[in-house]
Amino acid sequence: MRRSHKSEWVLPLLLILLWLGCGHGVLYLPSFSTECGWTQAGGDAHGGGLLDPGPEPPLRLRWQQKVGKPPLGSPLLSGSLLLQWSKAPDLYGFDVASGTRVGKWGFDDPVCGPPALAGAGGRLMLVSILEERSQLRAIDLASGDILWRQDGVLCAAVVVRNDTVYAAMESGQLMALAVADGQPLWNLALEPPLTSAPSLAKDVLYIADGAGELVAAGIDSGHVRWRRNLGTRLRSRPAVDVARKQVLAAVDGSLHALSADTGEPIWEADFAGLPSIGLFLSKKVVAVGSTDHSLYGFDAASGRRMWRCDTEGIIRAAPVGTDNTIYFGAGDGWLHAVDISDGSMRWRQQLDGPVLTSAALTRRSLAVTTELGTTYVFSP
Amino acid sequence: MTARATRNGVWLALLCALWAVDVSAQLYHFGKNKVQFDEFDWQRLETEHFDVYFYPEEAELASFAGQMAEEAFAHLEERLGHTVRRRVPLILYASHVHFEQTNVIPGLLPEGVAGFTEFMKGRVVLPLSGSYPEFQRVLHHELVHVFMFDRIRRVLSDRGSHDVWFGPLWFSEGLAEYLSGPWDSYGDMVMRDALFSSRLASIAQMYRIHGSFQMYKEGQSICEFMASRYGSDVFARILDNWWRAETFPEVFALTTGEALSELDEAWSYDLQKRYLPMIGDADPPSQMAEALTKTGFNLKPALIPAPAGTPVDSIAYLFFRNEQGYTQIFRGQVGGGEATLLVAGEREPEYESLHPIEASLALSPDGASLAFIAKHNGRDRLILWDVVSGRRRRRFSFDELVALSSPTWSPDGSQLALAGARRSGRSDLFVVDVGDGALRELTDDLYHDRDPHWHPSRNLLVFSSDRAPGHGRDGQYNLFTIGVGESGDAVVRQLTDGDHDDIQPAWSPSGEWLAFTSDRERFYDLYAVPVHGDSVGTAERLTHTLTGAFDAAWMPAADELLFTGFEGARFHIYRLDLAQTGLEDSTIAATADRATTAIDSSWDLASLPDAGQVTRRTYNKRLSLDIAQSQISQDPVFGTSGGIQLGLSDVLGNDQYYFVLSHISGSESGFFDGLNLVFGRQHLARQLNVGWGVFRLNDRLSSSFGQFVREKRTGAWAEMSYPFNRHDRLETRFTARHSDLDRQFEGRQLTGWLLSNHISFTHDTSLWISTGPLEGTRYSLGLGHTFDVKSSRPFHTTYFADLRHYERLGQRSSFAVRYMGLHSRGDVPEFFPLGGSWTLRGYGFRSLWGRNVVLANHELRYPLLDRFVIGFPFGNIDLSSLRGALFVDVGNAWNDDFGDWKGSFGAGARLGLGGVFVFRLDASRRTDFDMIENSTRWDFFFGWDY
Repeated sequence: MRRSHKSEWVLPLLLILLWLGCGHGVLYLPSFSTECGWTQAGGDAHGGGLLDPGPEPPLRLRWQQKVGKPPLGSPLLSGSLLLQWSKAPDLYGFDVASGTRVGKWGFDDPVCGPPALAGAGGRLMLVSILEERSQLRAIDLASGDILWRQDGVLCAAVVVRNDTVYAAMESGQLMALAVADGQPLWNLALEPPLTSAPSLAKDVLYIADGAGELVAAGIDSGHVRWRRNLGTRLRSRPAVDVARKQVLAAVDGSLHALSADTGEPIWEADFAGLPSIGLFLSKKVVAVGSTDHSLYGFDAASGRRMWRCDTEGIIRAAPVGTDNTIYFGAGDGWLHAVDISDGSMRWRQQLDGPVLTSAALTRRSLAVTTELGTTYVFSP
Repeated sequence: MTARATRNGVWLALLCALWAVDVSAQLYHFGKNKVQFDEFDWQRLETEHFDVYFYPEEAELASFAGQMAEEAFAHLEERLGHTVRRRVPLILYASHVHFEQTNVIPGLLPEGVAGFTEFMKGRVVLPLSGSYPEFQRVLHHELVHVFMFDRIRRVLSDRGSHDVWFGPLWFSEGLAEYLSGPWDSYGDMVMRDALFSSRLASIAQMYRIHGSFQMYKEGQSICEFMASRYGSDVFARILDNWWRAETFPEVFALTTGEALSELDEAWSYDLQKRYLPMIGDADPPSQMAEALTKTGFNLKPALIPAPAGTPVDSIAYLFFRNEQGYTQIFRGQVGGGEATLLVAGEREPEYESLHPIEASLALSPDGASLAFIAKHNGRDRLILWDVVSGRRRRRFSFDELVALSSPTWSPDGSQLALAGARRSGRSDLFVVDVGDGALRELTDDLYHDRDPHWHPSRNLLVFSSDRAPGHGRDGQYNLFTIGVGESGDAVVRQLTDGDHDDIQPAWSPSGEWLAFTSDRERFYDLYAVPVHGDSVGTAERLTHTLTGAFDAAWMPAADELLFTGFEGARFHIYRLDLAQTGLEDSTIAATADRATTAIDSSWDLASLPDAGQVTRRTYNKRLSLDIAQSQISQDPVFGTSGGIQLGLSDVLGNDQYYFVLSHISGSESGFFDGLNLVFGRQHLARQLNVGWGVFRLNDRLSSSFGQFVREKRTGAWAEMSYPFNRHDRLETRFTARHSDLDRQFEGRQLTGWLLSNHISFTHDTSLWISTGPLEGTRYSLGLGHTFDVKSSRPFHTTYFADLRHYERLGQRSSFAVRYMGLHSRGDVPEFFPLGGSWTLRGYGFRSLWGRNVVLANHELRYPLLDRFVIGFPFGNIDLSSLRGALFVDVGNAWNDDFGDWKGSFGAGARLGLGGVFVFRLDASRRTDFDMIENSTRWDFFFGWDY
């Protein structure tokens, strides 16, 4: 009798093991395609965070789901899927429409920078592993295979355009890699450490180096076109105003606009506190968040401060938005939507915890994840 | 400061105590007392991010603290790019003597601790020192720790790491200093002194000054330099990268791209570039004045008035000297020679502290009486000391004043003025009638009034205060006068003005000049200013020190000054010839041509709004976890055992609960038989500490005597501990238990209800170093009695006495003795073990036992190496100190027949590994006092010296 009792445990145990194994195996994703090249550093490849047209407030909560740990970068909205990395590090996949969890992929090695999607249909996940031999890995999401690796410590977001990955290694190497096989296309040695993502204009790439210089390099060869020292280290990712041919960068307490072609200063504006990790840039307004709890709006042409929107928490996340509205999460646990023309609050929604990473936008959705590990999706 | 102490030690001691087979074996333990002399009616004030705990007398402080805490919170959010999500408990005390009674951490708090952040529950605890701006700075400092450690915990936790590490102390304290206020003249003073006396510790050598004020200031200087070199967000980036490496140098390197050694070199070079040119215009005190003291730390010279015609070199002065860990009052002669002890000071329980930094000494006009301040039993007292006979003449204490400082005599010797801190924390000026002790207040406001000095011929006090309009709110002190007469002339007039500190004023013998210390040129130097009536002249700089000059005291002819000079990280008394300063010439020219102005009040405290985001509530004891741990163990004899321990306490630490549940499986008589359960409570809010609890224990162990013992006990206990002062306490415990006792070594099995009473008296004045006591005396005497209720027979009665004395032979050497006796009698006597590193060396650990024990230890303790640092490629391991010991032990344990004395002698080494971990190694040879054994026996153990 006793023996038969023990055998009753075998089947449930096997089932539990099977379930655990599946939970940490390959995340089988349906075919999908990336939308509008949104990066994990917040915003598009230009670094400006603008999507037009995009969702306008008031928004309503479509669903919310737990991802356990604080987010590693902002959500990635791709077709019918929302992908969110957590600092565990785990990759969660949700159906954008219903919030149903499609899968979860547990990762054994520590991941430093926010991963990114690349390749046709977003079939590759670029993940930077931080271990004794740190490397950027390209993983086939369908099979889980590692397609290629590039050695180096990479904790800033990578930027992908077409078939090229631009990666800023902490050792000071700015690399252009082929998405297909990871082969280096060019390599530019800059002053280490490189800690923020580059931004791209049509044929120029802009990045802040470890010596406090903003560097403009040709996108094809990595040839340096100009350098400009702004006196102190750049904290935020630069943003490129293609229309005005100017590049914007924030340091501690001031925002600089430089000629995208020559690096010559155009204007400079002051604000308080440390800037957010990225800027918002529309046709008329450039906005920067600050650890002094405020979002500052400046005239993109002149640098004149147009408005200031106060919140109750620090703003580290890069603001994003449309031509009418800027969205940003803050340390006060609210998702804010302000009018781009005067900084007035148009709408806001309380979340379950502070927001320190950027929201992601599609034409009809906004997704954001709090530091308590809850992903929210809103739509008009 | 930060306190990383946890309650684990306390719980461990309690649990060990309960688990002891023989209850009286833990009847006494040494240690000084934290005494709750005051009872506080706690309340709570809620702001957006803080729970401010305060008592009604400090309601003004609580409101201010709430406002300042919120301001600091916003500032740190901005600077560190981080927000703390939990509510931060902020526990306030109106004075340091109240602060020292806190139960938030179990250890004693030295006077130099201005506040601390406790890590278990993230509590910030701090007192008001008298100065609201300084309180604000300390609060800001502690909140930096809160932010920093919260950020580190969060970063590590987010990445799945629970192995929290906090980095080097110089960085955490330096960052807290850097973010809590601007660089000040004290920082310059310490850095210049370190540089010019070749004592500057590089980052790699920071262990040399670990925990010192110099480490705080060097850390602040390094952080300032880091911000200028890498950007002000470098600290936020370092904290963000905390998870990426396991050591601070690695995190620093991957954040900045530079090695820590590169920063070290660049910072050192920058310091030299800034400070070295200053030697062209300034000198250390020893180069400009004659040093009158050579050893120890010497402060606050006060000249003894001498009859006219007394040779200058024969004039005597009194001063504080801190040497060998104690502050005492010494007498010296201006002409030189050895100083002699006048007041033994902190060696006496009557004078727990003389406050040498804040207080001063004052001689009566006839030179017969010395007035000084001494702390005793949680309250400062004004002491009048007969200088001739060396005895105390009078002492005054004031119910409404908690802390006192800086007494000064009236010209006729009938009154004393002093600064005193009220129960609210406000620091004001008062006058004491020496005849009847009546106290009269001169000021009653929120400003920090300090350093009063009575005019030699007028009813006028000069004092230093932060009441100046404009810069007082920033914590700057200027000089003021106030009338002392009873005719309502207490008008405050401002003598000096400026964005700097003017402190420690002293009237010249004629009353025409004031000497004082000021940092108006960024150096703490002596200045003098002419004062005629209500007019004041221009201040003349008397010294140009590289470091600092304080505590000016005029010689009778006003041609010389005694002062305290800072040099080589020490304070000494110096004699300055004013002829060198040009003051005599300027006396002729100086005129007091500026009329002083009367001021009423200048600045107010920012306080929280009464409504809205602020809520005031009564204090409810909400318990939260101090410790929770579980364990499981496997023993080949006793089988598997497992259990949990929980410790809970309220936010103030006044009520402590503990719960232990464990089970030993494999019991032959069912589940309940193997169950161990203890629940206890201790209430520490009052001077009488009370505890009670219940237990159900089944102890099964191999006894100290190598045989099996089991006792099943079910019962309850109640205990009380009454500390009379910091050094003496009476303890008693009553236990009722049902006992099922199996003593295999005697072949006895006993069952019955037992009642036990124990009482002990314990005294401890020991002064410690890292390896154990160095000076002082400890003893404990007591008895315990247990009887069987059913048979009314005496189970056992136990007597014990343990005396330990440590005679200081030098700065770090001492001769230690211990005499101990234990005796148990009755039908079921207790048995005591002997042998091993802590008792009788040369004999195996607990290898001797009996119901009687005598033991005598004699040990010479001396230093071998002050610091033992082993360098590894990954960093240094600092093994603190290595000390030696020569010892002779004698003792015996017996039942009925004493047998022979057992002895041993030998030598040992002690290596301090930090905290409780002291590695002890002893080599000894036994002797029966006829012969000496040929072989050497080795004992090693971890633990402090007895």
